[in-house]
Amino acid sequence: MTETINVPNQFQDETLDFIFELSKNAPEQSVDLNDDEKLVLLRRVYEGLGEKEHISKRIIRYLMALEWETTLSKDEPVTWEIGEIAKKFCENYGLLDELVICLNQAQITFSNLQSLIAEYDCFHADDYEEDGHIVIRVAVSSDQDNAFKEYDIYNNWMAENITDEGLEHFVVVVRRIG
Amino acid sequence: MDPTDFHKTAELLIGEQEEAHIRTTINRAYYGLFLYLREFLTNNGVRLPDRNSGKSHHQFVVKCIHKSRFFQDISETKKQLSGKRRSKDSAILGIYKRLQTLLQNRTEADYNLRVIFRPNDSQDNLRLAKSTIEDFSNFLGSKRESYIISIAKQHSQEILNS
Repeated sequence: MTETINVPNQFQDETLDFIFELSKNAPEQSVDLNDDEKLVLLRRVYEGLGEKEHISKRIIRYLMALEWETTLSKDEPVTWEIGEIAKKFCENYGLLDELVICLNQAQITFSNLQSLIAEYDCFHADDYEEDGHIVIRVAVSSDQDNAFKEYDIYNNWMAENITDEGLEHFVVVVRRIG
Repeated sequence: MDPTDFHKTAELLIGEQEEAHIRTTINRAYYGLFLYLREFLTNNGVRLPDRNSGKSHHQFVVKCIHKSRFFQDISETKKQLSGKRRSKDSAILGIYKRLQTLLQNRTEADYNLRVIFRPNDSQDNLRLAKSTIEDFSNFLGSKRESYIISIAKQHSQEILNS
């Protein structure tokens, strides 16, 4: 079954031919089209560009694999984000500077960092809802051993360098993606 | 029942792709650890907050661990008396930060259906919970154990009085 997709301007005819040739050799199931993260990347590649050509699903798979690998191998540092409510919460507690220090340190500590976001959240269990806190969400593309090692290093760094208030209100969550 | 038996249940679900199974594994991983710590406290005479106190047992256990962060052995106390600032117990703080992480993941796994969980999340949470119990029992020692229990009793009394 053939699907259609917009192809960016910069793909010349010969580029398409080249990709098509390569795609013949690409493993059919090398990329899962149901993978949300890869679809997001694909959308970014084609976003805003006019429709030029129809290409086969097989080529899409190949392009997605290329783009995904390129993204993972980038050396550019991942920039962090602080959610609006998280920012207000930290300002109220006088913790914003400390949160920024923690996020900068996370950029240093975690290799293969994919995203770094600070969000407001609160624990709740059945009848109870507790005071709010900040979740420092770290997404990495590391194996389990490496992710655990860096998580422990980061926690030790926090124990040494962060105030009691910060330790209590900043919860670190590391998730392995990719 | 030994609360760490919940980790055996979690192990049965490791490798399952269904998100409901993954979320259940994360829940069981956390509960194995939480109940282990809760039982450690109550078996040593610590009274848990009443239902009408407005404090959850989860937060009580977390708070007791956090409040125990200033444990020091005698040699450390001498250093402190000689002018060094009050230092924190990194072993206890390590347990505390892991407990926070597991509670956060458990809360999201149980209540937040918008978060997408993947099979490696169940593996990671179970490993973290099991290693935290292992570290807690290894670090404990009689002095640290007495200290944590006394801090927890004090905290329990504060809640009763409030």
